[in-house]
Amino acid sequence: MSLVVAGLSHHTSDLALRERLAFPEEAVPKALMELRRDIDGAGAVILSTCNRSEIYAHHEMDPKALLAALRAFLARWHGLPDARFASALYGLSGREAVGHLFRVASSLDSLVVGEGQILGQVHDAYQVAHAEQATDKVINALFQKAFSVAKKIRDQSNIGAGKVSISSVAVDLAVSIFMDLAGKTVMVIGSGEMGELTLRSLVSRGVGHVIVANRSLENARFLAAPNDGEAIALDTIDEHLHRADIVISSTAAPGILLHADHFQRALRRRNSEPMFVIDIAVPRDIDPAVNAIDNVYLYDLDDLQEVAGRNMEARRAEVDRCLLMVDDGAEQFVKWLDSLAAEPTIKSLSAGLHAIRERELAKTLDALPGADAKTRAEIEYLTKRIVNNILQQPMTQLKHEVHRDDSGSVLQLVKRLFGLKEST
Amino acid sequence: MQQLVAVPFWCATAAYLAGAYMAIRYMRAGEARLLVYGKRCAAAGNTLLLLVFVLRWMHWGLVPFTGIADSMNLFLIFSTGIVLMIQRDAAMRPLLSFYLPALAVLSIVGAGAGYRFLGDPPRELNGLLLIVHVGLVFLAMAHFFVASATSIVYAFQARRLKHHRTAGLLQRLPSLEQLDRTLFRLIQSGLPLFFVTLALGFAWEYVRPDHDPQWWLKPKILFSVLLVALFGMAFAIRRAGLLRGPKLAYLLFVGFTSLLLLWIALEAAGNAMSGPPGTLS
Repeated sequence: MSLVVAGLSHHTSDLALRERLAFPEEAVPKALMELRRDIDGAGAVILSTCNRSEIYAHHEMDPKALLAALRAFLARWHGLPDARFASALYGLSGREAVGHLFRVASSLDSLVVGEGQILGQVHDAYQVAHAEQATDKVINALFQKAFSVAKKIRDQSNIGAGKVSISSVAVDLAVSIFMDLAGKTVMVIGSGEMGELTLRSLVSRGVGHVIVANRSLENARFLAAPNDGEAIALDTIDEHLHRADIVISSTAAPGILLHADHFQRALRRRNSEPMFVIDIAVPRDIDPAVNAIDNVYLYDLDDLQEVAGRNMEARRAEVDRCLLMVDDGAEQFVKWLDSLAAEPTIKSLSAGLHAIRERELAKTLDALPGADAKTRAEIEYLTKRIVNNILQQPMTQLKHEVHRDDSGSVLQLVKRLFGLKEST
Repeated sequence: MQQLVAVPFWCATAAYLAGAYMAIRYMRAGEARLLVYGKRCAAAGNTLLLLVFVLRWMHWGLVPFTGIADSMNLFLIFSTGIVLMIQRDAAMRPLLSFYLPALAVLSIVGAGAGYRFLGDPPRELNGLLLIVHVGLVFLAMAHFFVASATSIVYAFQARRLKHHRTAGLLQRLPSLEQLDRTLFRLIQSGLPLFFVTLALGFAWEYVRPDHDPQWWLKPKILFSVLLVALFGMAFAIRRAGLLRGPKLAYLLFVGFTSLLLLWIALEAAGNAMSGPPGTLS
């Protein structure tokens, strides 16, 4: 019995090769069907994201053969000789494969460690395979355990805390100041690319109203239109600044545009309600002295980059702790997987003893023709209890024995002792 | 009786300390389950203090509202109740990391000052008017206490945002706006309660037969009036937008703490000169 993963990721391949070996979303069901046709009886999940293409599979054949079959499938499906991707392809089996999936689902193997998207992608990949009936008992258990390990890591570590891109750091900070962005107004000054990106992130979090200020009213209208925003001329900012809860400035102006007195006036007009000011222009648009004003929180590009860097460091510092949780989860899963090896023997043993019980019970009941239905049922119940009690200890012990190195010989001994046949 | 009450009394203190320990660990580790354990500890402490309250009431047949042990118990019970209500909103739960140590400090002060008087009978309160008055005093005070604890969180959060120290606890605390709303909701609830209780207290003072013409010079009366003035002023200037944010938060915290310490000092000085030991209200 083998549990393996074969695939390639951003660690082992460049974008061009990943693109070539990717499974488009709509092609995954067909790929699963063909994979199961190639490897009869395999349980499988195909995980294909922009950073990885992997196939998780479980089958009775040995790991090397299963990995070779998966490599052959990849080559055939993508119409690519396997020599083209062999060096980028990794193949892991058993505990290594289990640990790999847990690391992937927990975002410890991601390009941006701690990003939240991958867990959803793993979940979707599993759902597709499950819907296509391409999964089996082991694959189901493997992915359920992966989700539970990933959730535990999210809950019990800071791996996902703190954003690591400039625009998402800005959104995070806005959420630290304002309870709900829905009712808030954001003013964008200038039309720099970073400003647009930050605005987009804020709009996706539901900011209520957008004001765009630009030297050219036409440009302002152009940026405001997709967000149902309002366009104003740059020289009228002072009249509108008090309406903005969040200000994003990213102009190409050579000097300071907004000084402390602009914000003091705005604060007076807005009853000192807090303002979050993001200055991502180089050179800066907003006088750094503005940060000294109460209820104004000013972050420039360096500040945001520093926050992003610190968040990344904090995530990296958490990785070792998370890896211990992955190891712990993998250990539990592998134990469960090993215990499956004892299942056929346990089933045979139980079936054998119950067959004897039924045979002897029939003889006894034949010898007691006068016994009423209640007595017969009592006798049957008694025999079942005796057999179940006899089985309890060996069954428990067998489940433990499979974790030992010589588990195969223990199972063979039990089979010989009780004259059991191989069964699955 | 003292021994019977002492068991839940000390267990409650231990529960509050355990809650504070969980909260401090949460500040460092950020594991959400620590806050859940902390919350359970505080709830257990609260239940045990309620048991103390009920046992003393049943034993003496008097509502145990006065005396240092009973006063602190009542104050803790109300404060913990308010804290537990606030943390029902999951976004507000990280505030427990500040609230629980504050409750533990109160619990230690209460235990240290009050354990000697656990076996003493509560002072008799003359009539329902006085019972309602004293109960409301502690309920309003509990609102102000939790408000001042919230104000320090606000100041802490604002300071960290201002100085761009955004890692760690800041990411888990509620937004400034949410803290501001909670703070002023607490004041909004506490102020009317305090006005009502002051009115009841003044009415009782006038109708009682041994009316003291200098009653308004008592520390507790001065404390109450100053407290209402502080929180009333804070509420008004915040609504008018005259002062808002960290400065107002500091004002509330420093104001409340100073007044509380002043009251305790004056009461203790007064009790040292006259009156029975262990009485605060």
